[in-house]
Amino acid sequence: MFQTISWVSLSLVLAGIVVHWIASPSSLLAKREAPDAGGRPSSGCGVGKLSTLACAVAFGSLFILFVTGFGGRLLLGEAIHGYTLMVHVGLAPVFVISAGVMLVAWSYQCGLNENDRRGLASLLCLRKTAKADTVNLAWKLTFWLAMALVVPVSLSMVLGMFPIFGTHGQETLLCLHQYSSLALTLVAMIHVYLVVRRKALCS
Amino acid sequence: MIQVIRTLLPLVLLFGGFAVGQAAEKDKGLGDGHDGNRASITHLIELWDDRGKQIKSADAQPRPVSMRNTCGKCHDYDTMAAGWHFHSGSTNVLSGRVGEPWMLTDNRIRTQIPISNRDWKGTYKPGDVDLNAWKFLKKFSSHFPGGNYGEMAPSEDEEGEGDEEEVDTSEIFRWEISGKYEINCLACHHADRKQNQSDSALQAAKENYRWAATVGSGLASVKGTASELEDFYDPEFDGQKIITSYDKSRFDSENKVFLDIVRKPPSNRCYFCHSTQDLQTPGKDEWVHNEDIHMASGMSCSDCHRNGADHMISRGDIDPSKNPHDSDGYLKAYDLKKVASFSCQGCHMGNPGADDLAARMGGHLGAPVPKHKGIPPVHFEKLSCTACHSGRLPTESTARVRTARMHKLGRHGPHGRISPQLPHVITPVFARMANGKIGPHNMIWPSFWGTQTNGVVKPLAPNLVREIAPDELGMEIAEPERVNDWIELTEKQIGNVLNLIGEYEWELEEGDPKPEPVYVAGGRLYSLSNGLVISTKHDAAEPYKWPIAHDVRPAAQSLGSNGRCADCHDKDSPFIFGQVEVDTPIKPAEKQTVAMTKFGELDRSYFQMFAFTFLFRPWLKVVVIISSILLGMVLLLYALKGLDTVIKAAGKKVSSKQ
Repeated sequence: MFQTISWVSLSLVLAGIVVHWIASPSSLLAKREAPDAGGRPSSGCGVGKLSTLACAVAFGSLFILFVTGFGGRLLLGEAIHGYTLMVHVGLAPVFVISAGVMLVAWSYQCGLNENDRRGLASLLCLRKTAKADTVNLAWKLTFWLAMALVVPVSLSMVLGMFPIFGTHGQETLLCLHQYSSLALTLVAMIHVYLVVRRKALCS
Repeated sequence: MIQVIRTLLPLVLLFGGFAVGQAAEKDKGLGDGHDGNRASITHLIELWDDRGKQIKSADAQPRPVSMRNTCGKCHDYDTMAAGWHFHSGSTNVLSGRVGEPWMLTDNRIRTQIPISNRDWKGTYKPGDVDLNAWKFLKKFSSHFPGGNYGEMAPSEDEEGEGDEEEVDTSEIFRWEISGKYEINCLACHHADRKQNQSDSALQAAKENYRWAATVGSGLASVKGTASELEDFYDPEFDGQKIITSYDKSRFDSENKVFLDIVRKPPSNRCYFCHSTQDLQTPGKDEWVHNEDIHMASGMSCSDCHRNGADHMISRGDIDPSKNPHDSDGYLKAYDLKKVASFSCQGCHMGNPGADDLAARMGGHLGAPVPKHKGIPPVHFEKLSCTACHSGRLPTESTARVRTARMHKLGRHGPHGRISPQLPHVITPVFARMANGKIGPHNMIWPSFWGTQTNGVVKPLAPNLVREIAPDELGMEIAEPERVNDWIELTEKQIGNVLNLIGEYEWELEEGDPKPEPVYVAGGRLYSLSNGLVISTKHDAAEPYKWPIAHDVRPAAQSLGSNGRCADCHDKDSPFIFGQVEVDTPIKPAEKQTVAMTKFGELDRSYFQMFAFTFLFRPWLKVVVIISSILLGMVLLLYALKGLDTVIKAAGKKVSSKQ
């Protein structure tokens, strides 16, 4: 079940990214770019060295965690085990720490400004939005969503190591870990895509 | 008139005989059903001897009770005889999970061979070591439940070998004197505290097989020893030399006797053959041991090890998720859906495949549902329940136990104080089971003289070895020196004995290669190469191990209980990194061991590295929890800010409307 859901969701997101890339090239984005109402940088291009490093480590470790965690399951249908498990568990704290640093460093820049709030409110009310109101909304929202998902991903792993949850609880935690990790991966993919697009635009 | 009577009499007798036969047939199996009343059935019954004659208190020369004729009046003896305890001989139908074998030991020639007629890898058939039914009984009857080998005609067991000519006529006469060793129903089902299997064992040791059940039950005492009588002893001519004296007070006015028979055998009855003694604290420290937790809770063996009239007692090896044997025989013999309900998993967690709703829920006899807090579910895929819960807690090096059947425990009084230490049973060995999971095992290292032909090793009968090399093996020494219970064997001795075996003139058919003499011990196969003794690895030298499930320890004493990961995942954890003793008469004073990982088929370096990571696990927990708290707080901060914005926006909207 999880294998199928993973394949389908990963395919859909990848396909969505490709379609979006084709349908909305960077040149169009440049025309839609609007000045940031709050005076803050409108993209993640100008972050400090630490946050850049944290960002690189977080995405690098997330990639390895994804490969080790999903590789065997998606390709062979078997649960993670052996040396792969050791690498996965060993990298998990690196990812969580770097995610924490990233959140602290980026949270201010990723806060929603007036335009974003207006855009979000319009989207929530299913109203037509001004292009300038939503141009930064997507990558900011995916950032917050990814950060929010890091919490269940990491807690579902670490809580299983305490004698708190029984077999059923452990299975639930494992399930939660799998699905929240999948969601985190998907959101991170979208976020990276959006940020890379913006970075390309900045340069 | 007389002619009419003469004509009719045979017809009347024939009809009468037929009617009696029909009546007897009608009663057969009468006691095997259940009329629904839970009260136990009072067994105030007539006793019958092996000739079909009722035993009465006033009999001048009564014969011993025949179980076939007494119990068989109401119970289907032949159906029972197909059960696990009784079908291992030529009537063998199932092998089942490997179990404790019979152990043919001869310390003088440094031999210990696992024997079983079941198809268990690592065991040898009785016929392979020249054990026919008679010799088998002579060796193992002290803890033998009767039936099977005990009831075989003198040549019956040898027919399969195609060697009828070799039937020892003397044994035919001895069978007549000793009688059949019928299934001893009372050994299990007689709840009377007078039931004494030690007495039965004594009768068996005297070759008084016919009398074993009667004496063991306390119904009668017997004077006389079959083994001391001449082959041609005939009580009709020589007079009774084995005298059976019944306790007359047991008979009522109708010559019926009350026997305290119970459907569910008390554990005390099972223990006679199924006890295990921990040799770390034997003798005066025996009192420190706890019983199996199930026993301590008031259960009995038969609460889980149940059976129907067929006596196919459930062995606990079929759990709801898997029948490890994949044999059609098993499927025929067992209703897996029902049997699995009485496995560890079936009782404690329920059997999802059961037809009965209650069995699906589990909790038989109040079995608690285990929580297994902090234990990742992957453990239940890799380990059997017994791995963490059963047997002796593992220590750096394996321990030893003695078992009732191998070491003939439980014989008291006239048996004398015999306390055999060999074979050394090594425990606990965490090895891979038939179902692919790791579980605790008892283990012995076979050692025997044998021959190898085309790579196939066969043991030699101990008597033949004694005959071939009496001097080399030191038969003449009355009290040889023992080291670690063994009489030490040097490589020079091995070479000499192998030479002698090599010189033996085998009866070979034309074209058959001459068998190569070998000796097996301590996991090595010793043979001669250009006159020198060399040792190699060989399947035949592999230790024989069988899974154990008892004693079950309480939850608090189970491995990994309450999140104690280090019980198994420590760098020194005996569960994975323990050392398994190699037991051998060659250099027995030296400590020889094999890594536990070999038996569990585990990658030692991987588990060492895995154990190493557990050193950092507390840090990992701290780091992840602190990071998660930090993440949570920042997220909360921004969530509150967002909420603040929403509240302000809503407030502004209301103000502007006003």
